[in-house]
Amino acid sequence: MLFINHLDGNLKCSLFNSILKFSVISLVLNFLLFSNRLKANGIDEWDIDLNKSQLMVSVKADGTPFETIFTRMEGRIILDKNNLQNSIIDVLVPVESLETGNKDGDELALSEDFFNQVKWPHAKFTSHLIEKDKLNVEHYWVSGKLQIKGHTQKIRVPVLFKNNGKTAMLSGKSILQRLDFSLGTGEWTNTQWLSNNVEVTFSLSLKIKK
Amino acid sequence: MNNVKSYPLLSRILHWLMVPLLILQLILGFWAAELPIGFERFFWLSRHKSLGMLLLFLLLLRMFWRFIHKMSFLLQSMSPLQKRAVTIVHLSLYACMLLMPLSGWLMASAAKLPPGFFGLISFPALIEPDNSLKDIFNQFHTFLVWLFCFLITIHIMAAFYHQLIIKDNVINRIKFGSRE
Repeated sequence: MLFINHLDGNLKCSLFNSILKFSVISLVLNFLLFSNRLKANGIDEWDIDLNKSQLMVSVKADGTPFETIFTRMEGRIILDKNNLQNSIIDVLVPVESLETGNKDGDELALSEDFFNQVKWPHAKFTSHLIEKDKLNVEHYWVSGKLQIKGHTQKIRVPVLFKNNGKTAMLSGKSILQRLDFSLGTGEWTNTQWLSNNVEVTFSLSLKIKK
Repeated sequence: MNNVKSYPLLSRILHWLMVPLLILQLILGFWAAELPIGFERFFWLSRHKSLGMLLLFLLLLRMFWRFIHKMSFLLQSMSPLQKRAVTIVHLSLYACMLLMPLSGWLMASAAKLPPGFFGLISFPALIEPDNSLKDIFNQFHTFLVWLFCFLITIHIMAAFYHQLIIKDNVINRIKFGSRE
């Protein structure tokens, strides 16, 4: 009987230890796996739905608009209109995903003269401040750093953020100067032939992160 | 045979204006097509496209003028066979001059770089971007260019034949300073 009690006590002890270990491991795993969520402090984190999203740049080539789309991007988008100070919009775009719709154009855009994809494979935007527009509902101003081809520029972009609960749209338009990022070297610095102004339009379809 | 009636003044002006422009256009096209991908190719092909649009405009004006003046390519002195040959060559020349810029416009549209006019205006794309269609129109454009060169050779040889061998002064139709 004593033996049985002792055994029982040992069993209880080992069961308690197991539960304790499991709880600690779960906590650590939770922290490691969902730390982003914890950092986001309960605010909405989003995935980009690439099939419904578009990132397009348009430049005027000898007066004719020439558009290029980027078919891939990844990002960390934590965005909540009630918690803008903890909101983040970080987007990474692989340069090789560009499509000009013209074989020669693709080759040229990836070459050293333009994106120099071999040396600088990504373009990156990192936000540091998101503010509400004072006049328009659902309109925001996103300030951050844009890094292309080893050049960093601070930009401030107006965006429209429509949150439908489980999905949302984040869209906007901005004008950049391509020569700020050395996009076009040598004869391509001629802005009469290739406009310095580049219109960037984006519409990101977002799904709430599960 | 010295009283061959002149074509209207505008027709003659357009003919002789288009001669140097077409020569320039052919040289530009052949040369730019061989350039490697880069600024020079883009620059000269843009100019080629602009000049092509100018030539298309001049051609349409020329055709319109020809139509309202009911101008004929033919002379009464020509044999039926000659008449047929003259009609075929002239109509083919016009067809080439019309289809060369149109196929170029289609090719440029498929390549997503529709023509402009020396940076001043841009013309709309005629079709959606499509790389395989671009290649097809490119081949058609090139075929037309060679056909046009062949027809031009016949046209010039025929002019010399009329002037030096038949001596029917048919060249007076297109000359300046001859009697109307």
